[in-house]
Amino acid sequence: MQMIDYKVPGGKLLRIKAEIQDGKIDKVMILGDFFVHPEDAIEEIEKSLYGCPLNKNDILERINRIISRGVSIIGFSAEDVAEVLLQMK
Amino acid sequence: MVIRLDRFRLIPFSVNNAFKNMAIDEAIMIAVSEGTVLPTLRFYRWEPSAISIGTFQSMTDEVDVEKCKELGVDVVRRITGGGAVYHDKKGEVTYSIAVPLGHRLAPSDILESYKIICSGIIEGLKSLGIHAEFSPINDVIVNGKKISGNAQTRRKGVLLQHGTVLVDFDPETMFSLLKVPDEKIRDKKIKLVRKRVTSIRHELGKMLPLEHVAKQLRKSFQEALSIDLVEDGLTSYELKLAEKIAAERYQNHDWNFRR
Repeated sequence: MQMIDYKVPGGKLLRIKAEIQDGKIDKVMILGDFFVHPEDAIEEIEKSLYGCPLNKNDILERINRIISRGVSIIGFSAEDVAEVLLQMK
Repeated sequence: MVIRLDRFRLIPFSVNNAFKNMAIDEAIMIAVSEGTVLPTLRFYRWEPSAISIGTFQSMTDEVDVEKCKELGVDVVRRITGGGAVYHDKKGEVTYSIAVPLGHRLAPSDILESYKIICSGIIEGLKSLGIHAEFSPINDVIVNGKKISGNAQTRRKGVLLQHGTVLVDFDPETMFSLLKVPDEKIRDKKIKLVRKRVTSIRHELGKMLPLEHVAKQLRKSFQEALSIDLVEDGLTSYELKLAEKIAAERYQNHDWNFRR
């Protein structure tokens, strides 16, 4: 499991733990002191990323699909998650 | 000008352990959602001292659980986001407020609602002679230093916000219980947090009884939020519900260590 901490400028602390296998996200946890409304959405976002190819467009598309259901995130953005994941190998 | 005074129930300053405190907040939120009680403002403190973590944090990443056990400090995961907080039994007043969504105190704009509710804290500090201001996203600061942290959830058509007011602050104890990325930087962290966090005691140069602070906050919330407080207890339904929620959620290892 890889782990990267990222302080979002003007936002909160994002800690991402993930397993990457063959260029795909095998497992991911998005941790930190941010806010997500409704809170359950974080698990949906994590699940939606399982098996996701490690490229920006795919990651953003999957996260934004969940957000578009009426989820508010305060303290980080889909972009931030993608940037952190892309630093993993 | 006519000021609309909404009636709110006030649950007066009381003390409970961490599990009960968090369960009561949740039980109130459910009762407000079901319409069986008025929107509610509550003041409390924590005994034993406790650490609460934000709902998206990892317990074992954030907290030295063994050390907490050793010192008799409870650990609990909140239902609200935000960060890890050390709730000192002698150094903090906590409030919670449960308001139906759409009420003028619970607009759909989340940042706006933090700002509105935090005005109760800012006015309370002002009445004690401390000039504080709101610092987005969810803090109240004095000269750039944090004195109050706040967190809210919106469930079942109700906004529940709880937050702290630091009356006394002990970073040594706090950092002996929280994990730091590297032991070598523990002292540095303590120094840094001293620069970034303050307390009523630090600002006034003297300690105030927690009851006194809670009383001031009660007045200031009433005035700043233009609400009419009706002092009352929890209903027997809420008490029963809180017991159930404490057992099923906040005292449950699976919940507290789920992330």
